Amino acid sequence: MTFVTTDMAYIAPLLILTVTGMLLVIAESFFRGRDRAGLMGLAVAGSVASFVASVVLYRQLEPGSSKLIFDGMLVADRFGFALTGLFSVITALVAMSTPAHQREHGWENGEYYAILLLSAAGMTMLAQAAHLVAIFIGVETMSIGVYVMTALRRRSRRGNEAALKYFLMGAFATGFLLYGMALVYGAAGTAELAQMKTKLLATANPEIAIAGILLMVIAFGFKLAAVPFHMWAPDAYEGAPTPVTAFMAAGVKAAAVAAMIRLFGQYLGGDVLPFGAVGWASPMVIIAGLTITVGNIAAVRQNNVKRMLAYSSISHGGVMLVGLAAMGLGSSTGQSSLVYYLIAYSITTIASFAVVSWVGSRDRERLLVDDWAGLGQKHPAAALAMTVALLSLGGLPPTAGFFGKFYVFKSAMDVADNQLIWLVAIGVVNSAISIYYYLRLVTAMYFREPTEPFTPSRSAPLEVVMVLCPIIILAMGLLPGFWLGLGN
Amino acid sequence: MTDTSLQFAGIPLVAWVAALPLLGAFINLLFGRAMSRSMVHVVAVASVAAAFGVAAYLVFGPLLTQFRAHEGEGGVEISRTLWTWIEVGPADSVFKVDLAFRLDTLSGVMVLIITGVGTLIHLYSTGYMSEEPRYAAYFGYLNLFTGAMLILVLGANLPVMFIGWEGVGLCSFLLIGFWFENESYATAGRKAFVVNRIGDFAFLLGMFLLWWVTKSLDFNDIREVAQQGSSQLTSDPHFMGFDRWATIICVLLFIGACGKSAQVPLYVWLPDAMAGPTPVSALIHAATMVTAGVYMVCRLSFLFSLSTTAMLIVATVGTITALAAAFMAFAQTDLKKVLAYSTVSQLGFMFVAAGTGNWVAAIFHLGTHAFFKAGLFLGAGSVMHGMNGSGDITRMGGLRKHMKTTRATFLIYCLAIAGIFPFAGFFSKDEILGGAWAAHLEGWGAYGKVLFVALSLAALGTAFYMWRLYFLVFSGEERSEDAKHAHESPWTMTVPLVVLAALTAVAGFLAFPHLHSLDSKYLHLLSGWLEPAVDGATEAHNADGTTYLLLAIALGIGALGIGIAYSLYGRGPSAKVAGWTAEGEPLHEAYEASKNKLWVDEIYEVIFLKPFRFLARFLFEFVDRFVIDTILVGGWAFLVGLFSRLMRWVQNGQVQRYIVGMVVGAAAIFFFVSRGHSPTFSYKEVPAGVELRAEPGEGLAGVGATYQWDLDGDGQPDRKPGAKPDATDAAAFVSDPVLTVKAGDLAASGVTLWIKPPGGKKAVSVTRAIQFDSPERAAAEGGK
Repeated sequence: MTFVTTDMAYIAPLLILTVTGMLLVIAESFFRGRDRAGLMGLAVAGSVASFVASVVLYRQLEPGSSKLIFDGMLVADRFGFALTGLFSVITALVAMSTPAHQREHGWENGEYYAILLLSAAGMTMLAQAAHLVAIFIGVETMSIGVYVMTALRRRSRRGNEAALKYFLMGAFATGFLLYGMALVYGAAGTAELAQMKTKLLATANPEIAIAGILLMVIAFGFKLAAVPFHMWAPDAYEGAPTPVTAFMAAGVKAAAVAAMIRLFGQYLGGDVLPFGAVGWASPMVIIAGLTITVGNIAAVRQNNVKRMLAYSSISHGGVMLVGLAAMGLGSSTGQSSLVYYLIAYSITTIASFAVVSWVGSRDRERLLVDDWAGLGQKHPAAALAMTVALLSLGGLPPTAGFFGKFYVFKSAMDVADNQLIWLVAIGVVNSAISIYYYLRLVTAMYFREPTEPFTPSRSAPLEVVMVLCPIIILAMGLLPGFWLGLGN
Repeated sequence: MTDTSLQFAGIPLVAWVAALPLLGAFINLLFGRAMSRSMVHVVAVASVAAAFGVAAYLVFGPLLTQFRAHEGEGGVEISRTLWTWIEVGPADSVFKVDLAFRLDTLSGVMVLIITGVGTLIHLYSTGYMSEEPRYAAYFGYLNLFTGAMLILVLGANLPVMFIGWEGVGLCSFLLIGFWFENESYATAGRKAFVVNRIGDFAFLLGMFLLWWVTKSLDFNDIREVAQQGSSQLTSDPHFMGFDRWATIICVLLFIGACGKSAQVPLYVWLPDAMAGPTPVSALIHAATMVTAGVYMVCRLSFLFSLSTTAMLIVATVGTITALAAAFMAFAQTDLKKVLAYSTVSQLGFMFVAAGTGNWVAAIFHLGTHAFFKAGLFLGAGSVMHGMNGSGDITRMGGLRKHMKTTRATFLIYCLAIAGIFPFAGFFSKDEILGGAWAAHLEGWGAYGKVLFVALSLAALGTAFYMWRLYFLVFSGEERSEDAKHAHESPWTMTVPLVVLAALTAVAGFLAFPHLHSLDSKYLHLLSGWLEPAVDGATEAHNADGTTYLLLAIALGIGALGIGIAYSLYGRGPSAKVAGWTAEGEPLHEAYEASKNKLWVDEIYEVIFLKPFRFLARFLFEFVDRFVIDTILVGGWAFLVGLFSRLMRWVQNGQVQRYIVGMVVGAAAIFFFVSRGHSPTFSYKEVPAGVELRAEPGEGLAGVGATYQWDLDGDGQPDRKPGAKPDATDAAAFVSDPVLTVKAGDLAASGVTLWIKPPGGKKAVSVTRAIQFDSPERAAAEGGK
């Protein structure tokens, strides 16, 4: 193994996040009590630096070019840096949403920011992974951090229960992932993604290869909270502190999809027998249809806003699987539409959870739909931010959510012989159903009288997030062209 | 290539003409509530007056210069394209619409009328509407209307014209229902809108068909195609079709014109539209918007000329409208209603002119009518203003004493509409009558003479009902307290009356009749002016003798109508008329028919509205309430509820159950993938023959399989061409998973495919007969 110095430059986002994470561990012992804001500032600074590095690297690469680094462990391409940029932004926004929630709910643990950034480093690794081992390390770095963050609110029984469930189920899923990787390695004789397709086509044991691939589909299905591997998600999302929930819903999901795009879409995709039409794509079509439908129908019945958003995020994961299935079946627009969808979905999710944590306070967390009655009268700006986010989740123009769904479904329609037309139909019907529960919250905010005064947890960084995200959502919806080009 | 001359601030002056009133509307509608009343009307009047100034400069400056220099057809125009509005479709039949404006001699006349009369009516409104609380909204709508109307006439193609067409419809709706607190006024606005939509639908269909035939909607392109079509009618088979299409297209467009210009059977909205403020009736429902249909037909004169059938329909509908509306005006007792029916009737005259190919007369009458009918409405407004808002003519009388200016100008308008020399109506109506008399369209025979007689009757009726109105309002003694205390209106209202009266007095000389004995290039200026824009504008007319005779007849008819009116109503309501029309008397039925407007609204109620309401009720009660609400919505809610109960049972919060769920899911995926489907193959027709595609099944079944085909039906796997007949090695057989063969090479008994999985397992065979269910092929094979 040779060490090439320039390779280090290509993992600058990963390095920046890791180093900042370590610095935060050290800094935590110096920042005490009220100086916690300094920790948040350092975390945001690290994430922004990582974002800037991603932008620089992105612009430095030619569109469509890709470069293997570290002996094929990682890859440097525009797709990867678009996603490391996205993950950096997610991390910064989540960090900014946190102090208010920590102050109100009394979990001012300084190690939080360190774990957040290290977990984000795992995500950037997933975005650049080109080797089964890199994928595994990325997934575990990311997941372990999130398990810990879920458990940080030690005095909350729900939080502890959520963390334990999440951890147990996650461990179980890791088993699937590792076993799948082992089988694929056994069948192909290589763990490098770039060579995998050729090797697998010539394999003497196709059954083993397919079994391995299916096990990996199941493991990623767990990370993505796809039905029927989704059952941890509502409990974990509800029990975790709201900013952590935002990180789980936006970041972890996006990172899992990034890895799936790499593994299945880019390296094992296309209409080549046996890995396109009959390998992983056809079970994924069914999982996608189930995920969209089950997530949606469960969300219809929820009165708890966080749980409703959890089920809604399950349903959105289903739409991402539609895009993946489309990529697997040879749609050329699948990747760019998925990247657009990931950006739109992440920003929207963070916006919605930011408003959720803003509305609640120490005594009243205000998680029920009824608690939101009259927000539009009392706090029109917050209600507007939530409305924009909800409309985007529901996929109504002119928001980012509309074009996200539109592009993903369009890429599914690009698949030859209309193979995915039923999946698209299911997706569109479910979009219509989803409007019901999103608008239920909107009607509560605008058309009902407030029952008790609101005591929002005010905090400047949180309010910046609540202003910034809706602007991005609308910008993406009004000028979709630029954002759509990012994924190529 | 863009022409940068005649621009101001980078925008062509032609576009400024329409943009100025729109700018005024923008200011008044957005900021009007915060502005003072005087600011509001200064903006409103100034924007339209400025548009008039720009239009006058363009028409009497550059356009007149071009007109003087031109020879032959076309070419006198100022065309400017702002940008390409729509561009879609394949390169060979691209649907391209520019946002383009064109000022030619025809639209020049219209623009001057719209902005000129529009300025006067805006000025008049400042007095008439001075007590109105929603002052800025009123002027905003009025400006918006003017802008839309200018877009309508300046549009260089049908879609741009349609923007204006819809825009004026919207403003008409807004202004008819301006006092929407009164429910019947709001209903009148809605009626106008709905009836217009019926016409607009036909207009759109006509537009689509026209594009389909000509591949362009620009008026100049349509003109080019139409003129080729009419000369190549027999030699070019394509245009044989075009002749028929011309009829359908023209009839559809004419239905659109019927809606906008209030012709039978779509005229019913216009009398109700009198609910709007009187200046609105003058501007929109007399002078400008209702003439849009006439303008459109004249704009497409070269297209309508292609179809005698369409022309016949236009002329006939116009005649029926002229007669029926004149009849309905006889017994009306509301000042504005009489004027409304008069407008419908006069629009009928214009369509007869258009239908007899007498385009210049149509535009001429449009212009003179704009002057005197706008004047009549403004005069009526002045009278009602003085009468405390009442329009009931039975309560008026003797107003000559109280309203001198209004009465003098009203007299001139009434002389003009009755067709008395030398006022404008005399010339324009005579042009139409003379044109009908001389109509020589192919296959018409003496139909023109029939039209002439019918129109003469309508003209007689016109003179009668207008003078009945005049005598009842101004002559005799006051019949109510309001009439005794009537007062003259302020100068802002009387000045427009005087200006319009002056125009009414002189405008007729713009088109002095064609008389060979007076031959001079200064006679009938209008036909020379319009010649570049409309079809056959300078065609020869009647010989001198006939012309003099027709002039005399027209004058006689007018005088006769006035005489009858005077003898009956000269001194107030007539006891004689009351006697003739009493119950049981001979004229009773006719009087009732006129008073009840021939019961047309009632007939429409029974024929259209009742069935429609029934259908609406049915859709609401059965389809919406029962099928959708109960079955579909309720059913879904039930299913969702059931499903979520199942989900709650699974999602009970225990990790053990979650893990069971995960394992079951994983097992299901493995089962689904490894189950596979029974192997088969598919076939489809491709240009080269038939494509056969092996489908070994889902999942593992296809991995590493080998294929053998039997195409010739001998029960044995086929070998590759050139392979030894007894070769048994795998390479000798046809083994492609996808292959294309000629249809004739396939055996009738069917094709067999063997799929052999790897690892020495047993091969699976499948046999299918190749059949196509397309009827053409079945017929061809059946015939063999």
